Amino acid sequence: MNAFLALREEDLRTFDEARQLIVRERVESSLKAAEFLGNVVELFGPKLANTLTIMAGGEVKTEKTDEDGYPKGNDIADDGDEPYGPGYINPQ
Amino acid sequence: MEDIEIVIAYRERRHSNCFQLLYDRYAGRVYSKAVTMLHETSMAEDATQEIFTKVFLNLGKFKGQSKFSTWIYSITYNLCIDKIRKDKKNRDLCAGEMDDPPDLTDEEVPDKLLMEMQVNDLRQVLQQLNDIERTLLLMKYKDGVKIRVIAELLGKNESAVKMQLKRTRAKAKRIYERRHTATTLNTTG
Repeated sequence: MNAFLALREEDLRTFDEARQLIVRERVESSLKAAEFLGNVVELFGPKLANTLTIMAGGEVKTEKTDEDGYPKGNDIADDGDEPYGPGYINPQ
Repeated sequence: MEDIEIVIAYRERRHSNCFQLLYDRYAGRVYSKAVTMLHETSMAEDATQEIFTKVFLNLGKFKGQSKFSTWIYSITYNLCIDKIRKDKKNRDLCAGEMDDPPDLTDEEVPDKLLMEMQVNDLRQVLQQLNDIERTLLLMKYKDGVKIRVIAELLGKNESAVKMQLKRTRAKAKRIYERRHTATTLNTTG
């Protein structure tokens, strides 16, 4: 083995199992912190954006309302009429 | 299990075993390369932590077009170079000296001389080189990095890197011979 490879082996011996474990735990901790921050942004980001929009005088479109502000949902007929009553049988 | 299989498994399931497998496989080599660039074990350890954090946060960007080892070592060297650039004392590595090396006709020293040195001799020689010289030798002969890649990483042209390596080998030889001459004189009285 030449001297350069011997130096490399020495590096590997210096970075022993105990030190590798310490570094690994720090990396895992950083990754978990990044994941937590990502989840917080995903959860609260849209709500924060909506709040800021309202504070600026805008309107917030939600998934539950359409462009005209009418509620969306399975109980609205496709043609925009009032919902069908119970027991209604669609002739089609 | 191949690296790419572990990467895909980690991306899909975020399983800690996948993380551990890749970490155990590359931690030592990444650390060794960080030592090459930064010359201090504590800085190399901190760099290793940053490198692996960066690797796993950006694993989605790895498309498998190159080997995983190539990708992770590229991140390693680039992060270390950024650290060196931020350190005002050690900007030499990226300074302009290599672009216009002096027109010296150093002898051509074969790789064999360096390869056949004893470890302690090599260590002494490396201590007497400056940061650029030490880093170039270690990248080429310890880490096995090709000259083309060294040039790309340092933002230099290949001929400048080759010339610098040639001069460094000649300097290493002079240091080694001077040391051995002094040792011989001391021994003979």
